[in-house]
Amino acid sequence: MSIIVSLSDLKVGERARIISFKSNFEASRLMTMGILPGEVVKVAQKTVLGTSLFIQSENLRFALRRKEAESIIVSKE
Amino acid sequence: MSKKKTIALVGNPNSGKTSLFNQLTGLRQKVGNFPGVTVERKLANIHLEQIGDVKLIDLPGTYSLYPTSMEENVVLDTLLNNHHEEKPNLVVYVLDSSNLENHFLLLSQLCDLQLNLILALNMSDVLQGKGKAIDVDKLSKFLNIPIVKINGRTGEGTDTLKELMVNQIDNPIFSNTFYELNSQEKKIIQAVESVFENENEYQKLLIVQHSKHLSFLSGDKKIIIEKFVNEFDFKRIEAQLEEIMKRFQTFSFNLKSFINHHKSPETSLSDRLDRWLTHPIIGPFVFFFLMLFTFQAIFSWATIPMDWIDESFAFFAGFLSEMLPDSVLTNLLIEGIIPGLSGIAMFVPQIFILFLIISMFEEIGYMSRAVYLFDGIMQRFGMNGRSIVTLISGGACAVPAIMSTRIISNWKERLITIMVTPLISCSARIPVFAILVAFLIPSYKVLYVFNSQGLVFMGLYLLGILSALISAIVFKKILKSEEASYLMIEMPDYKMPDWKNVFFNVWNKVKSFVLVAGKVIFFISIVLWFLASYGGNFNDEKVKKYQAEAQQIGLDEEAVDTYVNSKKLEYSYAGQMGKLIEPAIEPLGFDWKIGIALITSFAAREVFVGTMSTLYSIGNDNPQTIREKLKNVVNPKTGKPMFTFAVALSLLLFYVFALQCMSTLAVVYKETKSWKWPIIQFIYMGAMAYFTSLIAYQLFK
Repeated sequence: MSIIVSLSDLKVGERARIISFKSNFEASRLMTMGILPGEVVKVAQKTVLGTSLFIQSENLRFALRRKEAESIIVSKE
Repeated sequence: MSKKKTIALVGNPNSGKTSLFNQLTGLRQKVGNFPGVTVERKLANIHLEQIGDVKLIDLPGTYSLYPTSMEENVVLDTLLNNHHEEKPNLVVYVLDSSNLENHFLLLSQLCDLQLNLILALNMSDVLQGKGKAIDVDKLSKFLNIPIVKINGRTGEGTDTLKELMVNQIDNPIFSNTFYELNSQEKKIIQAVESVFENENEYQKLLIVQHSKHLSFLSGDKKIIIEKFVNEFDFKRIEAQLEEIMKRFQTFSFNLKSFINHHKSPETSLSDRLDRWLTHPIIGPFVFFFLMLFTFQAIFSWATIPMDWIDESFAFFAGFLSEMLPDSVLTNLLIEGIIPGLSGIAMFVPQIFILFLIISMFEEIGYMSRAVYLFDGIMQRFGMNGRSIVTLISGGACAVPAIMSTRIISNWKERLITIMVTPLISCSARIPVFAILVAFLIPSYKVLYVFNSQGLVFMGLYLLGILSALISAIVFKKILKSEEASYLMIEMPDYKMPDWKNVFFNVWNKVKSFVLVAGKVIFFISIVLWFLASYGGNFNDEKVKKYQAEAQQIGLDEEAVDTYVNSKKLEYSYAGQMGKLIEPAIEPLGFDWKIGIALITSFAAREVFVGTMSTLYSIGNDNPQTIREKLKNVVNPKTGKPMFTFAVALSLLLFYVFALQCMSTLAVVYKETKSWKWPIIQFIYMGAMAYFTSLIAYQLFK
């Protein structure tokens, strides 16, 4: 059974598959960097207060703010 | 005479484009601005066999032709505008082989623009390290354009690339296209046909998509486009997303099949390092430790070259004063120009070392981790994680630091960073601190290890940092901006630094300091020399009078000269200005002599030391000597020592806060494109300086 949450809801070490983006504007930015629906991502680290996330996907390592991560809808498997 | 041809390097950030550019151009590169925007532009003339000189331009790294920043917008402008001065005759697309899929998006867009293309596969060695390789034949058939494997770091493949350039610059080769416009897109392009000249289909689509941001479209054309966008209810962003998805669908599968895996992937070195370096607690500690090391390095390594430069200039000035006849020009040279140049040259070692270290961190890939760690904190102060680089650089010199704010795309975050960076204590303040701290506290050991004066030094630095953060919060509340800001940053693999890149980066930064700050300091030094040498009718009669006076007191020949000089300074315009502002600075514990020093500090803060030595007839610049002599200076009004704890503290605080550096003001003007912000900066920092000095003096006198 898959659980649908925001990327920002994941704990450090958890993996999930990207389903869609809440905001088209964010989507455009993220997608041009190669972060696409269907891709599996893992939360590698979070900062102390959880304000920023360090994400690993298959080909890419990137960091983003919690607010940016909130707009990425993922499915925990 | 035909126009010189242009070749453009295009690619994602972190594709190693810069390495290739450095390989091809070396010291011939010129760094400037794209017209009308504060985006850095790197150009060089390179020579191609049989073709002659061509212009090679390094366009800013971008992820796609859907720009999210001013930098990325410049790429769009250059490629869409058929009349653009730098519209390339040939585009070399630089791609990170280990990131084929992600870097392919932009390439596919360039293909659709039917640009004359060469594909340069960079970083094959990294790919090999992961046990993979790209099947170049298959890729070449897929794209239909020439492909060359290069290594930006070693220079491998550069000759082959140049050969391809020679062949192709006049014989364009176009790739296959990837994207088929959908019916709505086709409809809207047809409807606004009148705004186009002879662009191809995808070019037309991009023009419609980005019409609002394109500088080369006239207002009328923009209006026509908007009219039809509204009429057809053309949702730009949705269309963009669909296009991006479709593109990835077109090539993803194929690209995967072009990559041959030789061995299974293991946890990379980068991932293992990141476990510590991005750890929420250990990460920041490592960062602070590295910063401590950096500043320690700057102060210890730079002292020797700095002293050497200082002595050389002084020697040279002395030499000239023996050789040249006494005249206005000679005085200008020896007392105006040479000290001015010396002031600029003195700081080159520190700036060199700081940017050497920062460039290394950037090249290794560590900076993006630092940005990640601190973005959350920086945001509270209205800045961006990327601001941390600027703030650190401000420790050497605010001028190149403020120039580096270009990497921050959000206007408000960038402006706040620019406004508070000068509060970070720069190298020029050190000579001032060095003299005055001794009046604040004698030297003794604290906790057996720390030197008391060293601790005060650190305290002054921390004060600067604190005031920067507080000011940032204030600006954050006051400035209004609707613009979205983002962190979204790619963290590349850690890699050994490409020393070529480090060298050119440092070279460009030092050059910008010398040229920008240099010009300002130089000019102001001359102005101040004039103000300090003339005025008040200091004629021969007066010279004789003061010489006699000095001899009466029993001073030797050298001391007589310095005595006369200090009187000359008193009478000059600078001296008169000092006396003029005395009432305003008296509550801070300053007299007119200090007033003069405050004024001359406008050329560069360290001029304070030189001025003080002249004013108090000290005769040389040795900090030890200066401190000794200053201890004996008596305040004529009170009969007690001039440089008390209160006065020293007040003066120190003034130098921590006041914006006296004309070069900084000049750079802020250039980067914000208006006088409004430098003026505001001058006023708010001046006010902070005045009031803290006032309170300190009044409390402790």
